[in-house]
Amino acid sequence: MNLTIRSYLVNVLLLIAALLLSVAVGSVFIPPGTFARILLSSMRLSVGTIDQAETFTAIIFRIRLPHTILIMLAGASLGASGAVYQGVFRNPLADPYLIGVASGAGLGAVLAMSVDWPQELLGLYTVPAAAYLGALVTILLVYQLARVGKTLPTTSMILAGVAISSFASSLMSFLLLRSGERVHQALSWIMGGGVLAGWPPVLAVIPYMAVGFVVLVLSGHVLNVLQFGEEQAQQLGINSERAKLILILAASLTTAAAVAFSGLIGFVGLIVPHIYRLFYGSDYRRLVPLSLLGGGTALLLADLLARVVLAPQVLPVGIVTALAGAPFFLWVLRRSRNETT
Amino acid sequence: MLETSNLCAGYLKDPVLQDVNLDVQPGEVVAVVGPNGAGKTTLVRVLSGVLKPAQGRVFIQRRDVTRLDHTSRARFLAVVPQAHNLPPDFTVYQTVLLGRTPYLGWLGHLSEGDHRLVWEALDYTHITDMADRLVGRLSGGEQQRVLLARALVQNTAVLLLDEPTTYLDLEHQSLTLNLIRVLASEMQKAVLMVIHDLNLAALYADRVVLLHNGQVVTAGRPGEVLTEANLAAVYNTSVRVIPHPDYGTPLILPDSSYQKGLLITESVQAAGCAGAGQ
Ligand SMILES: Nc1ncnc2c1ncn2[C@@H]1O[C@H](COP(=O)(O)OP(=O)(O)OP(=O)(O)O)[C@@H](O)[C@H]1O
Ligand SMILES: [Mg+2]
Repeated sequence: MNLTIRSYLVNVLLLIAALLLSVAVGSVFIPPGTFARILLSSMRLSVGTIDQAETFTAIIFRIRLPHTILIMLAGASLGASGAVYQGVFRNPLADPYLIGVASGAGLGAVLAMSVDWPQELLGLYTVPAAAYLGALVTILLVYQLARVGKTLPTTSMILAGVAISSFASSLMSFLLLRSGERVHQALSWIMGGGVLAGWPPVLAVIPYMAVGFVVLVLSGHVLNVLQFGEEQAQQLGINSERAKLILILAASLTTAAAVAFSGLIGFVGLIVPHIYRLFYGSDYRRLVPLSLLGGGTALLLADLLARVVLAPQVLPVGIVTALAGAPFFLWVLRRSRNETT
Repeated sequence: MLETSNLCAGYLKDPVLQDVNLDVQPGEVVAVVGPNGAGKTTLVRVLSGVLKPAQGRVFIQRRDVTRLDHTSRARFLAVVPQAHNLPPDFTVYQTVLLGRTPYLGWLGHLSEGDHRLVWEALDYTHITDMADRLVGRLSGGEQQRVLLARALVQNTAVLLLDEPTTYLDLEHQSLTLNLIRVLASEMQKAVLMVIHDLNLAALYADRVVLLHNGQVVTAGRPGEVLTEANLAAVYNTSVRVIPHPDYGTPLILPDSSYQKGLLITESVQAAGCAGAGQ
């Protein structure tokens, strides 16, 4: 119990630090004193009474804050859904990308974006829904392809996931390139550089993520039981088929919302749960909320790097997560192997 | 207490169990024996609701459990599966606690009473001092006792065990089977256990069910079922059965063609070593 409270506390503090850093740092330098003053005054007064004309305030509240929140939500989604996919498929390699969900969601999102909506806002709210549809269709396809009788062997699932995933990605690239967008932009979306600006996208993903987060965070006990395999789960009184369905639907919902306005960001869903498993064990009642917090922190830090490394040019954040994530992941794997042997 | 009537079950096209009729009374230990592939594990899976029967019913306390959902059924019947592939990073305590699942609902909210039951079960199975160890790092026999403790906290009238002594040494075989007997009489549980060791079945079971090709060949007291004629027919090898010197229960002595000087060398050559040394 003590460990649980302490782990939450530490990770909430880390997330807050990352949030502050993300809002404070950017291509326009805001002196720390000014930054602190703006934050303090925004806490005391309502946002409306703040001097909107002041550029720093505008940068913070119109640009950096929505961007930061969108990144945090995307990271939290990927972290939490990664942990849940790993639990449902009982495979440490299952992550939203490997099983094709993210690419399917991306394809759905791109399709929705390429339509000429009569109203911009309507289009905006349709994108996450289309991404969700894409994610569900992908899962259904992967499941049908990988299924052997009533079981779902992990290897065939991952093979099917990778195949469907590359198919969806190619189709997505094709659509992006044809839609007249510049190659540069299209590529950057696929590499996780598609983070939309402003408050509307944040508001558009929040309903999807809220539902997804609640279901995922409350499913720790069921995930624990599922770790003993489908047969034992049933003998312990869990309807494993239904439980898995609910978990996959919820995890795909959050993944789709993350992908919809941020593009394809790899590695967060794979690495973050692993790190927390190493530090805090694999009790899913704790692992899922921690992966949610940690996913947010990790993606905020990656995004910070993406913004400052080649400033004023901004890298797609997916490049950073892969560049930093892959070696880090290998290091973690090595370390854990040395520990167990 | 546990009763089946004309139970038939199988996989896709293959029928395995045919017309199986069993009953186990409270406080009674019944052993299911039979050769590999006889359908023993299939029987456990049907009784525990993992596999739907093609035909027939399973009754516990006169209630048809084939019609219950998993949660309700898990309050009547607990299974001690064969210990393998346990998740590596759960502690013994966490694992045993999961036995409370049928009473908890989706959120798994635990009460003081749940924790007390877990400590009692750990005590009962003599694994209290292992509570904080990881199940993945225990020996097969220790894992078996953890799973037994988990089944105990399920607080069910019926206990099913699939080969509970397979991984155990001589001492732990008798400790585990003694414990199972104690559970049966103290808690008035109906115990059905699948077991390969016919001698242990004879020593610890009230009754033995001999299963062959998915059918019950005979069922009854160990002395009636474990006879030379029955075993020779079902296991396809001759055995000697003598009375146990201390208890008079049947003692099964396997046959040895080696001791008779009748080694069948041709098949060994054909199967394993032909061409290997050249
Ligand atoms: N999942 C399955 N799908 C198809 N057939 C199966 C499956 N499981 C078992 N069988 C078949 O059902 C028959 C009975 O198998 P079962 O596992 O019940 O035997 P058993 O008595 O437990 O054997 P053992 O002593 O080797 O454990 C066998 O012929 C087996 O090949
Ligand atoms: Mg078996």
